[in-house]
Parts: sequence; structure tokens; C-alpha cells
Amino acid sequence: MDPKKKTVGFVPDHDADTTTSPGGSNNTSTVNSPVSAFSNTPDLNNTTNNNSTTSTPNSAGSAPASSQPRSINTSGARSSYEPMKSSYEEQWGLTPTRTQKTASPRDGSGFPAKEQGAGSHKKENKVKTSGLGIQANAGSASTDGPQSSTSSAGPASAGGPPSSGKGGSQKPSAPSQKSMTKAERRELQEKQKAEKAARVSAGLPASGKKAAQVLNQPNSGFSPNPSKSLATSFPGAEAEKAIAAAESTGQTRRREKLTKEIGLFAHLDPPKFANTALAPKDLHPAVVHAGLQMAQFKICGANARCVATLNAFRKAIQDYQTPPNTTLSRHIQTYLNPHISYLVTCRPMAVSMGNAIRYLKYEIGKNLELPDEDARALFVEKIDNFIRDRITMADQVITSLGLQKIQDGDVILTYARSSVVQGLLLAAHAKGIKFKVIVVDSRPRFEGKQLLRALAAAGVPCTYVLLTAIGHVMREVNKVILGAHSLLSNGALYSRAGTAVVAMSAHERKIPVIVCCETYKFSERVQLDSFVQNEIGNPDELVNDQNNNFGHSSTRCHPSVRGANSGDAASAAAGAGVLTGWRESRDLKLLNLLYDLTPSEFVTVVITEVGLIPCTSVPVILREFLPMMQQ
Amino acid sequence: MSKDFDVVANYKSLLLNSPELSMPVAAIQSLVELIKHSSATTMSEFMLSINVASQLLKSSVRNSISLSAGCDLFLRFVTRNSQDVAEFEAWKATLIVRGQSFVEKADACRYKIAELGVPFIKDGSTILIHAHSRVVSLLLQKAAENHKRFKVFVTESSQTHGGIRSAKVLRAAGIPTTIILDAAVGYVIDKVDMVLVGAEGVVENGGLINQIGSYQMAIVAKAANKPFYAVAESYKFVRLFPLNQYDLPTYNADTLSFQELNVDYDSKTDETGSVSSSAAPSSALSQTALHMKTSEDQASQGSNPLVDYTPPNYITLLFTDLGVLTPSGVSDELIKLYL
Amino acid sequence: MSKGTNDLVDILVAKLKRRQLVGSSAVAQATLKLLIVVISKNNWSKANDLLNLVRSVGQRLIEANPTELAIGNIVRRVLHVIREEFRDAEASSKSDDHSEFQTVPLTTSSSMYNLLSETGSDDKEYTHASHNLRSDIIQEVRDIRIELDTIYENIKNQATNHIHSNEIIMTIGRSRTVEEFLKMASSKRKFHVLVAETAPSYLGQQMALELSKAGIEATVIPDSAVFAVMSRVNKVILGTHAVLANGGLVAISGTHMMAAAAKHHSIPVVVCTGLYKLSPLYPHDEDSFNVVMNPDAVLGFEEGDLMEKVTVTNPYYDYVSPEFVNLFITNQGGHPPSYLYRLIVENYDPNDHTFDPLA
Repeated sequence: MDPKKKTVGFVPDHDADTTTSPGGSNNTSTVNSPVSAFSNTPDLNNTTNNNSTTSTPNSAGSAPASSQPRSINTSGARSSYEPMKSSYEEQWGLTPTRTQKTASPRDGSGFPAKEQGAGSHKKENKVKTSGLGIQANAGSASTDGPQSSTSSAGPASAGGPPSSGKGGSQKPSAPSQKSMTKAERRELQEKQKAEKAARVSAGLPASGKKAAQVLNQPNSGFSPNPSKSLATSFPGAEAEKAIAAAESTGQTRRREKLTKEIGLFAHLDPPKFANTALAPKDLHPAVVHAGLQMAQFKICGANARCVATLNAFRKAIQDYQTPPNTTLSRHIQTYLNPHISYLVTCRPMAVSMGNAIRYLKYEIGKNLELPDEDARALFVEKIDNFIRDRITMADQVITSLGLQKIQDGDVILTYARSSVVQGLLLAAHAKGIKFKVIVVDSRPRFEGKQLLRALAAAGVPCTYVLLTAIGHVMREVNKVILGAHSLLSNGALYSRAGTAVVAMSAHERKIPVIVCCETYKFSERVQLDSFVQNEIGNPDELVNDQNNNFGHSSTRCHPSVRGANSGDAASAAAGAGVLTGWRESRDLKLLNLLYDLTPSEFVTVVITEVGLIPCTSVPVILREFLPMMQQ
Repeated sequence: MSKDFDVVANYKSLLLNSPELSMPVAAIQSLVELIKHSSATTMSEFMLSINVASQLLKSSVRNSISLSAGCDLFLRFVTRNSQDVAEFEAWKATLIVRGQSFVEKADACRYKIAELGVPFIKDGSTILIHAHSRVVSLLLQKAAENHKRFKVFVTESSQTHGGIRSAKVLRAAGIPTTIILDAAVGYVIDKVDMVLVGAEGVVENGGLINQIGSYQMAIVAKAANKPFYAVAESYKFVRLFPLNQYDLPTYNADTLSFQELNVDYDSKTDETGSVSSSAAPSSALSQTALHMKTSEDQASQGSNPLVDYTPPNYITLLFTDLGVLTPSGVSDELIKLYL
Repeated sequence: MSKGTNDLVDILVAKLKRRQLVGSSAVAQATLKLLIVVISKNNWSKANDLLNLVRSVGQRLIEANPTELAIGNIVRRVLHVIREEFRDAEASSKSDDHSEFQTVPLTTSSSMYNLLSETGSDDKEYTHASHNLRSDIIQEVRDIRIELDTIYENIKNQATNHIHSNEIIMTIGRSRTVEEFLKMASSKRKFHVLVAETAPSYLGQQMALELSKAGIEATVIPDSAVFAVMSRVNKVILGTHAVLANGGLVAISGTHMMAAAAKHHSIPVVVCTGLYKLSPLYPHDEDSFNVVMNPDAVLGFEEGDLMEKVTVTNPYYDYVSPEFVNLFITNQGGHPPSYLYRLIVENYDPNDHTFDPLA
């Protein structure tokens, strides 16, 4: 039962993920001899592995892991599992296999799966920055694709074990190697080694060569052919490429050089990239999906991320099957933990998400004795209630409170985009208040454009400037309204990088700074500067060449403009950004800091659903009101 | 000697006769008169008489800051020129000529300042001024003549009611003017684009001695990040270096001394005497009259300081006839004169 | 004015108008070159003739591009030199008549002391034209030119006095002065430079690239991260387009926020600038020296439907008020902002702040 559900669950999800399908289909043509391929590879791999793999325990760990499920499966319903698997291994590397495996062992029994998951997870962590990205996803998707199509039980919960040996059907996906990074490949190699150990002498030497070829090809074919590897459309791709390239030389140490850690931020995690490979076994696809979207910044903003997380968890809870000898409420937390840590591997957890998850855990912990179905219903309800009360309703209250502070003739400045602020401004406009908005935006994400579009569409008079012009526009402003990622217990505002500059400029001119923030974003944390805790984004986003505009046309540096500005038009080579070759330069680094900390002195008022408070009252709200509200 | 000539009386009559005359100019004019009447035959006798006269002048008024600026400038001029005097009488004659031409030029100073200051007044701006200053009024009048449109808040200045005088002058020039209470500076500051004050004296470090209330205005302006401009003729530059409010020559033991607590709080004063209730703020003042005996009130008035000192770090720029100066430029000018 | 020089003036005016010639340094050089020709190739005998000639040329150049304050500065420098030369000539020819008040060493053209001294020494028309006056003036003007040529040299030589080992320095935009300054320092010291990328011109990116090529560890940060990383910065070193009489800067957009962030963190702000950028003008209006650029760099014209609904502003310069600056490093050394008035007094004549023709 369980496995079926899972597998089915996978299918729609991955299909939904647009990026995956083309990758899979594209690749079909390239490789034809999957099954045989791996046998020889191990040798090749061995050599590379020795250099590149992080440690032997890893490979050792992977061996049992890989073998175990197989045996279970063979004993179980799936006759086809083995060939299918081998094809994975050759063609997509470990990653997809692992995801697959996570599903499959569960079929047999939850526990071995768990073990394995842990093992693989650990390993993944070691290689984590090698970011596998979407390719991995692509791989798994394509595997799942065939499975689902073959399996008679299409819709949810049906679907026999992905069965349908159809080893052949997986061949097509081999080309996804193209999009596979070296890191993946390395894993694949490890895997294959293990495989080899397990099934003594299985493949043909000749095909091994082919496999090797296949393995090498991607390297060359990688960058010049973005259409094949969807990776290019994904922010992490550049970095991945470079990292992968580095690792292919077998020097893991060089990774540091290439990611070019910045000394001051050495304590922060390097930028992360979407990666199902990091997913431990057993993940619910909804969570995987949410994680990927967050990693790609397709979902961003504290509220959106929190809602996405909660929705994914709700799905996970709804689909959850209690393993034998335990109850839902007792086991669900153990079940959710890898999901949570997976989300963290996708992107550092937002404070909002952390608080929501803490709340969920709290509710789970409170109701340990409930019967399974009651507990499920309760938790789902609690999640819904949280979204409703703490986010949706809170935003409505904040909007109504905020409306009192917007008057006719106001010139309101806001920075980037906050869903609450957008709601407030639109509501104020709908109410007939005549005001003007100045949207201040900044590179690299240009989030303010989204707000600008929404406001312009509604007919609010808007001005759009970049952050550097803040000193210029601040003169005519009489109110500044900002969103928040989090409010810390020392009253500091933790928000999108640049917020501090905006608040400071307003403070300098004694313009009131209004922050809209739901109380569920309040944090117990205290922080004095933007260093101790922060998030580093993909540095390649700062490179503004034509290939890397992330759909923001103006990210591009228009040569004409720049030439005119700087007076040396020569420097503006068409197409290529100034920083394109930054990885090659020893002394050039890019730092894409995502958040900053605004001191409380810059913030005049915080509008929350419990009223207008000074931002220094965060700890009071945390201590006094929130426990009450949670009752 | 010049005993027959009463320099103080001359000074006072000068001020009385021409209200547009500022104190340092009047002081110099009186000293020139003194020279005219001087019967001194020797250099030292002559110098002594001038010194004595300027001391007399300084001690004759309660607030001698700007007066002493004029006296010091003239004395300095006399001493510097006293080194190589060929013929005493001829030299005395030059001094008189120069002194008289100074008085003429002094008037031109204000016009020059107005000319320099007008570009700083932006069209559509709101300006806060303090009490009454001739040169500030002139600057604003010139700006209005230059078709600048601006509004003015003027503090009433409860001791002298200079604000009421300013308002009259400015309104006559067609400038919208509102009189505010001295205590309302903080209230209006956010609506104000710049603060403009005159000066009784500009001290060594570029700081300002002006009618009481300027200092708090400067603090408020600083807190609100509004420019605080001082307007002063260069003959008001004075060689003083006050460390704080209590280091001014006008400060004495009586200043703000604490009175005996024999005040009868029950007996109300029906009028506060000196307040002319021509403007709303002053009527407000009389309504909130302190519940003190009139005599008591006047006593405390007497112990209230007339001027305060604004340190240079609160001053954005000084508009003077020597140009627009930063506070450190003032020091430069004074060094040039006295070294 | 002779036909030949008039044509030269026309050419320069056209270049300035078309923005073919931009950047303080280039503009200053060109202006000076032209003025040398104007002085040498035209007939003049009285001081006011020459002054008015130079003024009229200056006026035309300034009108061609009023935001290039360096033009006016150079013209005023030349005017100042002319006055000085005439004054010297005057003094040497009739030194006996020279008023004793003017021998006071520190006396400049204006002083409160003048109120009491003789009238009119300043307004006096210099008529005396000695035969070698022309060559003297040209020599003096050439000296200004040498000064312009050696500006980077003089500024960068001070670098090691201001940068110590392992410093973290922040800058914005691309300034040749700052670039040379940092490169010079890097020959002796190892330090790290954070460069704000300076959207939408991205000059900061170029700056970082150039610095990294010179072996300086340079990190590009988005403009939004300026405040966040400021607390670890040791110094902010800025270039500027112009320095105004009150010590305020006209510098690339974004400078204000960087300077303000530095002030909030009590980080010293150092401005590297040639003296020719120092203008005797005051910022009566903060916008008076600004230029608004093509908004396409902020919001692409591709998004036309959005463009037509909103206002997009792309100011090129920022006004930075003097309280944000701690030190100016010029080719004459380091000066606090409070000393700028003095440099102005030394280099420009107060009568030249506007170029209305003299009587």
C-alpha cells in the first residue's frame, strides 16, 4: 500500500515540475546500452573515486545500502526492480536511484529503508555543496514517468509497485547524464562499485567503456548546450558546473576556492542549490517539490515559504501511513524530521517556517494519545488553522490597521516586495485613498517589480527606482512601509538585504518607518549585526551577462548605457557581463547576501495583528501574548 | 581728556534715533564721536581714553556681546595703525574718516549678506526664524523681492517679543508669516526646511551668541537633520571662546539663581504687564501667567539669561559679508585680524 | 575674440553638449588647454578685458554642460591666476603706494578688516600691462596643467599613510583616483576591498574587476548589502564627481547611502579627489547638480506596458552632505571638510563665483 501511494505521489509531482520532462525526453536518444554499461565503469570509477570521494566509509556505507533494498525487492513483488535499478545506476547515478529506493524499501518495510536513508543522507551531506540540482530531479522524474505509465493503477494510492520491469523504458533517461554533474557521477560510480561487489561480474567490458564515454561526454557537452541540460535555466547551474568541474579533477579541496568563500562569512553555509539528491529516503513528494521550489526561489518570501511548507506537510500527514507497532502521533514526528532537514538542505529555514514547524511539533507532542485518524484530522486542521489565523487573518488585521496610517496625499516608499505591504497598498487604493508609491528595488532579484506590476495594474501612481537612488527619492517621501522576514527579540528587523539602508535613509530624514509583520514571524533570537546569521545567495546572480538575467531583463547591463555613463564604451563588451569570468580570477569574489539587520532605532512602528507596537516589544509579545493565542 | 563727552549717552541716543542701527555699528560710531571730541595730545593718552570709553560702553548695557564686538574691532584697528604714526592729528583725522566710512559700509554689509543668502532659500520652502534680526529680515525681504515663494515661522521670543516685530516686517513684505510659541519649535520642525537665525556675536570657534532660544532651536534642528544657518555681519565676530552657556560674559551669579520660596501661589496676577497682546501667542502667554506675584515674576525675569551660546557643531553655515562661511572659516577670519 | 579661438571654443562646446567629453578629469584638461589658447591668441591689455574674455568663454562652456563643475573650477582657477599676476605686476610697479594693510601675511581678498581699511583695493581695475605679463600668466596656467597631470601621482603617494594591513575597505562606483590609490597601497599592504556594484551603471563591478587584476582581493556586493557588511569595514574610500564649497559631494548614485551607513557605524569616510573638483559653489538645491539618466537601465524598455504606467527615475549622482565625510585626500594632502573653505579662498577669487561680465 504505502509504496504505491508514494510512487504515485511522485509522478504527478515531477510531471508538474516543468523542468524535468524535457530533460528526460531529450536525453533518450544518446545512450542505448544501459544495462551493460556499468560493469566496467567501476574500474574507471575506482581511479577517480580514490581521488575525488570524500572518504571510504562513504562508499562502504553506500554499498550495503544499495544492496539491501534490492534484496528486499526481489523477494517482494517486483521482479523488474533489478534491471531498472541498474539502468539508473549507469545512467543517472545514485541520485535518482536513491529517491527511488526510498520509495521502494518502504514498500517492504519501513525500517531498512530508514537505515538506508540515514546512510545516504549522511553521505549526501558530505558532498552537499556539489549541488546536484534539478538534473537529479529530472532523472528521477523520468524514471518515475515510465513507471507510472506502465503501472496500471494510475491515480493516487493505486499503482502497484512501480513494477513493470520495463528496464528498457528507463533507457531513454540515460541522456540525463548530460545534465548530471560530476558529483552525481561520482556517486554513481560509488554506487556502481557497490553494485559490482554485490553482483559479481555482471557486465561487459566493452560497454563499460561506453559508460565511461557517457560519463565523460557530459563534461564537454555541458555548457555549450544549455537546451539539453536544463541546468542553465537554473541559478545554481553555473556554480554547479564549476564545482563539478573542480571535483572532476579529483580535488575536493578546490571546491572551496571555487565557491570562493568570503572570509567574513566563512561561518555561513555556502549557497545551496536545489537537489533531490540531498533528500533522504522517504520524503513525501510534496515536500520535495516545495523544497525544490524554495531552493530555486520560485517560492520566496517568508509567508509564501511558510504556507508552502505547511501545505506540503499537510499533504505528507494526510498521506502518511503509520508503520506497524506505533501510532501516528508518536511516529509522525520521526517521520517529519527528515523532511524538515531536507528543507534546510534546500535553503536555510525561514524564521516563519521554523516557527510554524515548532508549532506543529508542539501540537503533535500535545496529542500523543489520539487514535490515528483523529490525530491526522487534528493535525491537518491545526495546520489549516495556523495558516488561517496566523497568516491570512493576521494579514487582514494588519491591513485594516495599516489603512489608518495611510492618508490622502501620502507619498509612500516601500522596498522590494512584501505580500503584506502589497495587500495593504492595494487595499488603501481600493478604499479610495489618493497616494503615491515609490517602489525601491535592488539587484539581483528585483522583487519589487512584482509589486510594481501589481500596483500599476491596480492604477496606483508609482515611481520605480533602484536602491542607489534612495537618497534622491527620499526627499519627497512621507512614509516608509516595509515588510519583514522576521523581528528579533532585541527589536531588530531581519529582512531582505537593503531594508536597513532604506530604513536608515528614512530615519535620517525623520520619516516614519512602518513595518508590517505578523507575530508568527517574531523570533526569540537576538542578533546585533548581519553577520552572525544570514544567508548567502548564489553569487552568479550578480553576474549580469545576457545569459543570466533570470527573467529580469534589466539585469542585463545595457552596453550603451554603461558606456555612456562611464565614458569608456569599450569596456562594455556586448553580451558578456563585467564579471562573467569571475571564477577564473583569483582575487575577485562575489558576495550575494540575502538579508540584513535593521537596528530597532530606525523602525518607528510595527503593525501586527495584535496592534501597533514598537519593535522593541517583540519579546513582550513572544512571552505574553503568543502562548495565550496558542491555547 | 574727553571727560566732557559722554560716550554712553551718545551711544544710546544713536540707537534710539535710528532703530535700524545695530549695536556694534553704534558703538563704533560713538567711539568715532569720541575721537572727534578728544582733546588728547599724546598717543598713550588717546589710547587710554578710547579704552576707557569702550569699557564704559560695555558695562553700560546688560548684554554687551555685540557691542563689545564693535568696540574690539575698532580698538584693534586703532592699535594696529598706531605703530607708525607720523603726525598725530592727521592720523586722528584718518581714523575719523575710516570710522565714518565703516558706518556707511556696515549698511552695505547687510545687503551683501542678503545677496549671498538668497540662493539658499528654495522656492516653496518653509523657514523657521528666531525673534527679530534685522539682517535676517532683510535677507527674507530680498528673497521675496526675487520672487521666491516661501513661508516663515517665527518664534515669538517671549522676552523681547522680537518675533512680533519680525512678523510685522515680513508680512509687510508679503511673506506669509506665522508666529509660534518659543516652546513650539519642536512641533514645527518637521514642516520646516531650514532654520535661519541672526547673531549678536559670532565667537572664535564659529559658534553663535544670540537671543535666548537659539541654542535649543539649533539642537532641535540638528535632531531633525535640518540645516541651521546663522546670518551675521562680520563686525559681529568677537574674540570670545565660551566653553558653555555659563562661560559667557553675560553670565553672573544671579543668572537663574533660585529664589526664596516665599511665593504666594494663591494670589494670581491678572496681567503680566509687559506683554503686549497683539498676537495670539502672547495672549496665550498671559493666560498661562505664572501664579506668582508680579514683583516675583519680574525678579525671575531679571535673572533669566538674555542670550545663549550655540556651539559650532550645530551650525550648518554662516552667511556673512565675507562670504558663506563654515564655522571654521570664522576662526580663520578672527585669526587674521588678531594675530 | 579671434576667429580661430572662437572656433575652438565652439568645438569644445559641441563636444560637451553632445556628452562626447565627460568625466571631470577629461573636461578639466580640455578646458585648460582651450584657455591657454584663448589667453595667448587674443589681444588684451587691461585686466578686465582678459578677465571678461576668459569669463565669456567659461560661461559658454559651463552652459554646454552645467553638471561638469570642473569646467567652472578650472576657469576660476585661471581667473584667479590672472588677477594675481596683474596684482603682482601692479605691486612691483608702484610698490611705494602699496597699502600697509595688505602686507599682513594672512590677509586674503576679503576680511572683516577691510571694513575699516581703505576702500576699493579689490574693485580696482588693473590696467598695467607689462610686456611679459602675457607669458607670466601663461606660465602660471601651464603650472595648473602640470598640477592636473600629476594629480593621480600626488594622491596615490599618500595611500600608504591611510591604509594599513588587513584592512577591509569599501568603495562604490569606479573612480580612477580611488583605483590608483588602492593599487598603490596594494604594492605595500595586503587588504580587502568590498565594492558595491553600483546598479544601474555597474561601475562598481568594473572597479572590482580592475582591482582584482591588480592583485587586490576584491569582493563585489550588491548595493543592498552595503549596510549589512558595513560593521566590518575599516574605511570607506570614495571617489567623487565634484566637491562643493560646503564640503558636500556630488558623487555617483548610491554614495549617499554608503556614506550614511558608514556614519551610522562610525566608519571613517575618505574622499579621494583632485583639487580641480573642488567647486566654490554651494548646493542651494540638492538636485541642482544632478543628471537623470535613461530609465531603461532601471526598468527595461522591453517592459513597455509597465513602463507606461509608472515613473522610472535613474539619477546618476547623489548629493552627500559634508557631515558624512571625514577626510578629503587631494593632491595637496589630506584635509578635513572644515578646511575646504580655505582651499577655496586660496584657489578662487570670490568675485568669480559667477561669470557675469565685469564692468
